[in-house]
Amino acid sequence: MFSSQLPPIPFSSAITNADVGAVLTFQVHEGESYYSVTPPLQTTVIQATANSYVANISTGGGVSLSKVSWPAYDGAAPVQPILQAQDGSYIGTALLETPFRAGIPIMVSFNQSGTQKWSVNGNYQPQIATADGGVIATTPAGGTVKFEANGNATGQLGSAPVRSWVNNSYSSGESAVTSIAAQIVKYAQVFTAIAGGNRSQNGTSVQEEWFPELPSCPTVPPGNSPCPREAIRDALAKLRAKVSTNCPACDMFVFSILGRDRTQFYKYLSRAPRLFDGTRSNLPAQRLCGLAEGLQGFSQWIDCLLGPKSGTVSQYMAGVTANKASSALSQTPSDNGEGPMIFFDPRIICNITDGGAKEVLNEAMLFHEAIHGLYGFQDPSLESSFSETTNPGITYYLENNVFGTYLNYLHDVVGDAEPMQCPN
Amino acid sequence: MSKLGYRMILPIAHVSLAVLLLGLGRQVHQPTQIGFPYSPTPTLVCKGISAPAALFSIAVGAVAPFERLDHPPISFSGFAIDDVLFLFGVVILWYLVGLAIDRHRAQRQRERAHNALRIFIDLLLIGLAMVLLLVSFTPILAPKGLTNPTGARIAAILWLTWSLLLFLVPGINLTRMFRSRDSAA
Repeated sequence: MFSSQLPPIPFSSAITNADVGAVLTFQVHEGESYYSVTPPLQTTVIQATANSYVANISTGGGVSLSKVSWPAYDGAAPVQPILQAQDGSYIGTALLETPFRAGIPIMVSFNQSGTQKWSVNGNYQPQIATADGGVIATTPAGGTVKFEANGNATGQLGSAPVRSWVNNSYSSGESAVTSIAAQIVKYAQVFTAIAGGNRSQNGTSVQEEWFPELPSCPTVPPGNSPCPREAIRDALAKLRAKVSTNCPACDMFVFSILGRDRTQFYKYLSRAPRLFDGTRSNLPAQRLCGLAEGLQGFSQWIDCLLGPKSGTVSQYMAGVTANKASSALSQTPSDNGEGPMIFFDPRIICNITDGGAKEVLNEAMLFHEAIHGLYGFQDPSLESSFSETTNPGITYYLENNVFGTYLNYLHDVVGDAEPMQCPN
Repeated sequence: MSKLGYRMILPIAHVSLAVLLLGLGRQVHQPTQIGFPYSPTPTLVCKGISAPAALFSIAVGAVAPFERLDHPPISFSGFAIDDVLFLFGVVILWYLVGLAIDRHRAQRQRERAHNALRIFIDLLLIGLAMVLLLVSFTPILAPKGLTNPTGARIAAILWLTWSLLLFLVPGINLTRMFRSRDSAA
């Protein structure tokens, strides 16, 4: 009787499959065994080929295996899935085995049944799965390459920035961490859109995105309209400028009524802005309950959490959880020490920076939402304080009294199924 | 009643009531003038009746927010994870209340040991009462931050009632304990 050690079965690390399970790959050496019975050697010779499998593991514990017909990858390691793409397929890395040279690194895309979609030769490390089905990968030289959904390289991005949870981008310096202008990347709305699972890269998979950027076009040709991100930031800069200096209308119509002074509001408004696209945000709605300072802040936070805050910000804004669509939504109050956190339906932002009535509408809306964040007041009590009953009362009140303009949103009638929109 | 005991009856009754009230709360439509996730009155009343359980679910959710990090909010038969935690808290809370009542009816309270653990539990309950008292003042301290001031005021009365009970019961116990020690000395 002969015995021999079974060859090892290399497994990849598991990767989450949305919120329904996990996927991993492994290789099994399958083939015929020969026994050499000629003395003096009595050894087992295994003539085997490496076959790859994709194992889909459901949250209930069920496992389904798919044998895949990939090219011969290095038998030492199976394909390592790293990201899940927008369409649910996976992007990973492998070492390609050839008759002449082993271990050629490739980046490969495959679906859950193991069918290979595409592969690219080169030592690319997938970093971010993008909303358009593509992937952003880095090279050992420090470069960053963007690939479209079929694996074709479409451009270089320079070095990949480290991204914080709230979409600020940073480059690490020796002595300081400096915030830099972000290149706008729309993440795939999956659980593993980022290598490492999330922006902390600690292996925990988080459904992207909690804090999606507003649509952006940083390099707009002269004469063309800016995009929502640029327009709302321009409005924020103008609002800051307005409340930083003498503003009798602000004092008379807002701060003398609500309490606190304009300096406090300016200080609050000057903190890092957190302005996001709420229509794509998977942030749990409970996070809209901010924890302000002091016992009162704690008390209000508990009280806010008592109500059902099920669903995500995007579900709330679409009216799925509230039976009513929303165009702008603030964390109320803002967390202690933080600036405004506002989620917008991009359609409510007027895409303009000319300082005219439409931009004033942006400023008035920001003013309104920032009041929620600083004071922690809800709309009915603000409307009561300002004796304003129209819809959206506070924005129009501020527009009329503080800025002296009169421009209304589209679909601002109660009961209109469409969310409010800027008359762009 | 005597066969099952309050420790069995109360959790079943209160979980049923909580499920009913939470379900009713889900049927309430958000008023159009409120641009923030709304707190319906049945939900607030429910979390007032079992206030310590509500506090428990918030505390657990804050300390172990794994559900919020790893997944989008999940639900069990329409109940969010926070509601499930709350219902679990309701079972524990009313079991303990029922147990206390059962012991009281059996006049076993005299057998309780006057030890450090008993003092610790009583002080813990007084601490819980203080938190409940603070939160019950929200409709007074910060009424403008409420999406449903009326519902919040009803809930606040219930939280205040819990707070007073949790002050009085352990307070009386501690007073008795120290008096009996003094008289023994």
